Amino acid sequence: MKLKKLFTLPIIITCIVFAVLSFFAYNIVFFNFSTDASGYTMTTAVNTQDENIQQESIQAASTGLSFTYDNNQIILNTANNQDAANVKVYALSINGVTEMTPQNMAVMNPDYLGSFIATLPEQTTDIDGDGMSKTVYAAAKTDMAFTQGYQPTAPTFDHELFPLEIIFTDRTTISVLFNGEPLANQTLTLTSQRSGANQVTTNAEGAIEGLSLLDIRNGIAVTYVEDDGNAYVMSYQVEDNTLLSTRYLSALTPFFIIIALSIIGILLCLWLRKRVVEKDPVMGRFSDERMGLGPMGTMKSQRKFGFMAIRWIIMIVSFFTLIYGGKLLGQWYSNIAIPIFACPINQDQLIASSCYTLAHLNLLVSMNWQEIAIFFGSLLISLVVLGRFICGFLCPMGLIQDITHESRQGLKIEGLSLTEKLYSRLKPIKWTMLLLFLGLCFVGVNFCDICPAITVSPAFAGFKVSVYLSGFFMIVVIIGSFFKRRFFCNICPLGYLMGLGHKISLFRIKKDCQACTECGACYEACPMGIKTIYTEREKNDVTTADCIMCGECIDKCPENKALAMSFCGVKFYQASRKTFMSGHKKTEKKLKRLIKKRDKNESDQ
Amino acid sequence: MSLINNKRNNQEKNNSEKNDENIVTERSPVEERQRQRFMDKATKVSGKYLRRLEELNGAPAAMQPFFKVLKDIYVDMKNVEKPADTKIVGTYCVMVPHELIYAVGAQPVKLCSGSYTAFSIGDDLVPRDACPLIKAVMGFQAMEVMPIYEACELMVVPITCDCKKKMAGMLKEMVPTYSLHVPTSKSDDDDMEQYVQELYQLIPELEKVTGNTITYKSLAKSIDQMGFAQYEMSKFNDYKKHVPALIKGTHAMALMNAFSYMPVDKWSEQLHLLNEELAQRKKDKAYVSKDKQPRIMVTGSPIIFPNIKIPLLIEEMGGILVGDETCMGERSIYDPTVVVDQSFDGLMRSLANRYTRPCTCPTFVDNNQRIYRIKQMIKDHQVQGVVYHVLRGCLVYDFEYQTLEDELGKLGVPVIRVESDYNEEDIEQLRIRIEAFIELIKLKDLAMRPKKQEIAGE
Ligand code: SF4
Ligand code: SF4
Ligand code: SF4
Ligand code: SF4
Repeated sequence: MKLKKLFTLPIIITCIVFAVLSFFAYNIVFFNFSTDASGYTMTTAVNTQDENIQQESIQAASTGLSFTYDNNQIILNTANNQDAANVKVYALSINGVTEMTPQNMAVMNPDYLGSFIATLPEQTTDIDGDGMSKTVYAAAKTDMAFTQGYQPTAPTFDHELFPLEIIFTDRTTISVLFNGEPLANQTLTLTSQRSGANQVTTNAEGAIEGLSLLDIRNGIAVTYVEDDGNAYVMSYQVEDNTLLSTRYLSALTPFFIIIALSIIGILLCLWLRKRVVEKDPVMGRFSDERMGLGPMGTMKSQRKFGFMAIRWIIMIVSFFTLIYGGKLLGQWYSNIAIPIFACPINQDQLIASSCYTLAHLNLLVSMNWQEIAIFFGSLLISLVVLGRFICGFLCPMGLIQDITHESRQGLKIEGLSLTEKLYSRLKPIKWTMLLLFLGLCFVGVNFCDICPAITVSPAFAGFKVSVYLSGFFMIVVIIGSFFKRRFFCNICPLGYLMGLGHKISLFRIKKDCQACTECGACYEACPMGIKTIYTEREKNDVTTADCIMCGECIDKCPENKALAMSFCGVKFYQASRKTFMSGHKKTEKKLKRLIKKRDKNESDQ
Repeated sequence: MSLINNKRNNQEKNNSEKNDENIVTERSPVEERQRQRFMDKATKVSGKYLRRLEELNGAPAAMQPFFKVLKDIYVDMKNVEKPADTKIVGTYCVMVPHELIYAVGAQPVKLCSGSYTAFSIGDDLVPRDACPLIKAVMGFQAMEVMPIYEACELMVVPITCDCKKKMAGMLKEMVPTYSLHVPTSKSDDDDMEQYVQELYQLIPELEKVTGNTITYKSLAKSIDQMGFAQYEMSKFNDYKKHVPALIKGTHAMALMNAFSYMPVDKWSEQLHLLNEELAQRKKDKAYVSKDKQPRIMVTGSPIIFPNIKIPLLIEEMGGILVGDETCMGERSIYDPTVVVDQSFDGLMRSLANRYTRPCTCPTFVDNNQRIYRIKQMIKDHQVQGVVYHVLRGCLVYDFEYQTLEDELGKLGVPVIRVESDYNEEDIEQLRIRIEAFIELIKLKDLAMRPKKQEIAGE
């Protein structure tokens, strides 16, 4: 009893601490990637032999001017020596646009924001092969990797330098500016290293949509022929980290630091607990056993492959498709945003997550009504069709927490079992989190600065995203979920938001109240501590706002048909004693063999 | 009370004069004669019921080992069959985790008794209104004749009903006894937490018996062993659901009684063979009941060998006993241990959970779940009538009769309350009542049949 009273205070404190910290989130930096160009060098190269090949395959954009990357070296490729001598390079820096000199090409100024543009003086050539010479203005632009992602607006140059500009706005969208104005409803030639030249038309906002991310990553060029015959060509290259290169792995640094710190934290907690337990007159004797230090054994009769295995497979597949899908398929379904904590700051994520917009609700005003409609539409559809099934099966944060839980299971270390009262006391935290999630953006900060999910998905995709308070929070989440299964999900604002609308969701947990023996196994198994699932005796629908559709309760229920998970009223997974006990089949087979052998021996004698 | 005092003296002597056993066991000739008479009578009654059990036709061949166990214990007055130097721990009710006892390397024996002879001795030791089960236990304890009672190194008595509570106190005077506090209600999480603590406290007591310590390994192993018994049990249960019946309910009860006196491995092995035989019967359509035989279920106070007059009467009068919701029956092993957390504490929690939450013992404050359980069994086993057994003096079960009658009334399932004592005086009266009940069901069935056919015909 005393213990529970004791818990009220920490919960209130936690709420307050969250609220306070989130205001200073930007100042409390857990890990910062450098977001300047220092360490890079730039060189100029002449690629004469390449020209012919390009001439054949790509009819436009034969200016040969482009940037490429080689580790920390940015190479400016030019078609000939003359170009190489004439080219002018500018960098976007804190103080505006600076011209690059050979000195600061060799040692880059930390002021630089990571975007460069190179221009050539006008030339007269027949670039599109129609026999007429045109005045051609050529330029190349590049953005370093760190410019993507964490900045809400993409870097833009001054149109004085070069009238045409390509801006990599979104994973599959580029915007085209001409003289500082969006180039609306114009036909352009888009040349891509990967898929050749195409005629494309910009939309009313001057954007080219539906591009392949892979095309953009491999380098593109846009040619715009003005009515008076002047042609403008701009090639664009974005720095890209190939998977598993050292540069890619370095993006995982904060994640590894978090893991290391979490392990230290867990060990510390264990040591502390051991000290406390050892003093206890009754429990002291079990301190080793409860730490998982005693001679270990296994529950041999545990079922090995079942519904939970399928859930694990789905979770892992979902983790990889979500995070690497965009990178591998080159597609990004940015229109659809499902409510999941797979951080879309990972620019390669297969689909967006509504959490970004929900955490930046203030940006809604700058969106047009179609985008808003699509956003809310997809949110609603995912709520109805998937609901918190997302939490149980798809969310990468869920997977991470399940992995920590499983590792504790493997080590046989005692966890924390919360009681109903403690669970109910979590409610204020849930609401605080929801409030912070939706409200922080209106007071100048946003939830992304404390969101633990940001440390996962972008890092795995190779994006160097600096983590602010999130890093600390992630440590708490990992330690917490080691001892308490799905710790974060119990306070996750996004999940809770979805849970609030669970009534219209199609995934449901059904109960046959008569078949239930109130054995409480489901309650013990439930990571969300939902007690009604076991006490309910009236309704046959026991779905609650907290239920993450993980199916653990059904998996552990020993009564035939007492619990079931249904979609659209179709029960696709039901509790059954047979499956529950199927782990003993092995023992039975062994027994059968034994009996046979014994019978044989007896008849031999 | 003299017997108890006597016994206590013996024990004191036992403690002080451990070396000299002869003095301890020496009894006066009167006492000796009394004991002999008692034993003769007890074995005779047990033998009679065992015979009736065996004579009840349809016993599968694989039942023989179970009968033999009952014979060994009650007729031949042997100790439990166990590997030498395995210590015995006596348990009562269904809340003592057998897993823990196996985990220290001891052998649990359920000591709840049904002996008429011991009852008559115990009648003088405890108040008249106490339940016969307590009287029988105290009777055996006082007579010092049953090896299973005598060989017990420790008795674990869950504090359930008042009688058990006082019994624990009396036993403490004679043998090492541990009272296990069972929460009075289950709905609150704190109750469960408390029971987990109780079990932790029980461990050192058990360890003292054998000197082995409980480790994760031994506990995991014993949970697996019990789990396997439960696995075979649930298969057996599925056969029991078959219509027409594959096995007589009285035999099934004997099987459950034998569970109390057998090492769990042995028991599950035999049950496995029995299951195979039942599978064969199912294939051969060798049923033990006819289509129209009334399907009856027993619930209420425990029915313990040799007090099996009620199930015997039901089946001898033409009913077929298909369900058994008593704590000596299915309940003691029906609910599996659901290990949710793999840590040692997780195992302990799952045990605490398994032995309290699903338990439908009426000593819990709120026990509505029993009604649901009975309803579900009625559905599963297609029960047509319920016999509610109340031992005279067993208040907790009597309390729950009313609600059950109301609930079953709504379902249209007839229920009859039969009160009995541990003697044979009430047999005739029971026979008449049960016969009438079975006739009633038959009539009802007859009246329903055309209707059913109509429905089927449509
Ligand atoms: S930081 Fe968190 S809230 Fe922000 S977009 Fe990423 S996952 Fe969503
Ligand atoms: S509740 Fe858990 S699984 Fe669901 S969105 Fe939140 S973090 Fe992901
Ligand atoms: S696990 Fe199944 S039988 Fe047990 S309480 Fe839950 S629903 Fe009821
Ligand atoms: S109720 Fe069942 S499905 Fe829902 S969270 Fe709990 S265990 Fe998972």
